[in-house]
Amino acid sequence: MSMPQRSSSSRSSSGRRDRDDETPRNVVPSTDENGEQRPRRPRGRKRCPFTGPNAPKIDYKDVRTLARYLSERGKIMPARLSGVAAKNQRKLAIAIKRARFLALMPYVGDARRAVNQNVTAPAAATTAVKGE
Amino acid sequence: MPLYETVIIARQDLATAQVDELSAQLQSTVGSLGGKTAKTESWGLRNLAYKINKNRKGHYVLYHFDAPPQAIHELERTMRINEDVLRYLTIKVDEFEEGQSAILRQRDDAEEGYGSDRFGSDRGDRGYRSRPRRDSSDTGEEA
Repeated sequence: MSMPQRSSSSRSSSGRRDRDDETPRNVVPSTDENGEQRPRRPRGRKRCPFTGPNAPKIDYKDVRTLARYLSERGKIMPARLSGVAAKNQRKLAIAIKRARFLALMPYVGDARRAVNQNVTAPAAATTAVKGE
Repeated sequence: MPLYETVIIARQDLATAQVDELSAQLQSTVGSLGGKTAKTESWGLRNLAYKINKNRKGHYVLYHFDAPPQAIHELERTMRINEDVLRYLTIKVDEFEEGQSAILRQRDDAEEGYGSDRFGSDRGDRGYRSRPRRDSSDTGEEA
């Protein structure tokens, strides 16, 4: 089983870097008939996940959705990588910061783990929802 | 009157009854200054993502208030004095959300099927293991 994109040894030896290097994302080297290597770019620009009729609302309480836009260190992903429109990126950043303030997600660390921790917690205390 | 959404975190060692009491007290503060509570929602005792005043957990309660600014001001003042309130966040909103908030919806999803998220499991964005884990002598390095 060959995994072309993974060079885990070189990465760990050179220390941790952020992913915002020169290399464009999603450029997978592919081979054409002549055996030449050429970069294949994804077709079209990635659509903003918060634009459109049934897009999710950006909400600081929706930690699952927010966690998708954090790196594994808990840093907010640049819109360049996530494809979020500039207007939505600003809202997203505010929502993430609110969620952090309320200790719903960490300032530093793996946000997805922290979010899922509460999922497994007993759901016994789900009461007192007035008006439905 | 403007609409506000407030989330408070109460200390972990309060009993549920004490949280309800605190909650009622805060609502009456708003009520006495001409505000109305449109909704309360208890998220129960949740793990905090980081420690706050040596608490690892906290009782979360969400309120929707339709209240004059002075009432909110007074509410926040009393919460700053009250040591049972670890933290609060008040936001002005254009309209109240209908139904349960995202936090509780997520919990319901989880009961139906854990791991319905993008990657599932606790391996974060490393996804699933493509090969079964080998013996303990092998530390995962490629031979």
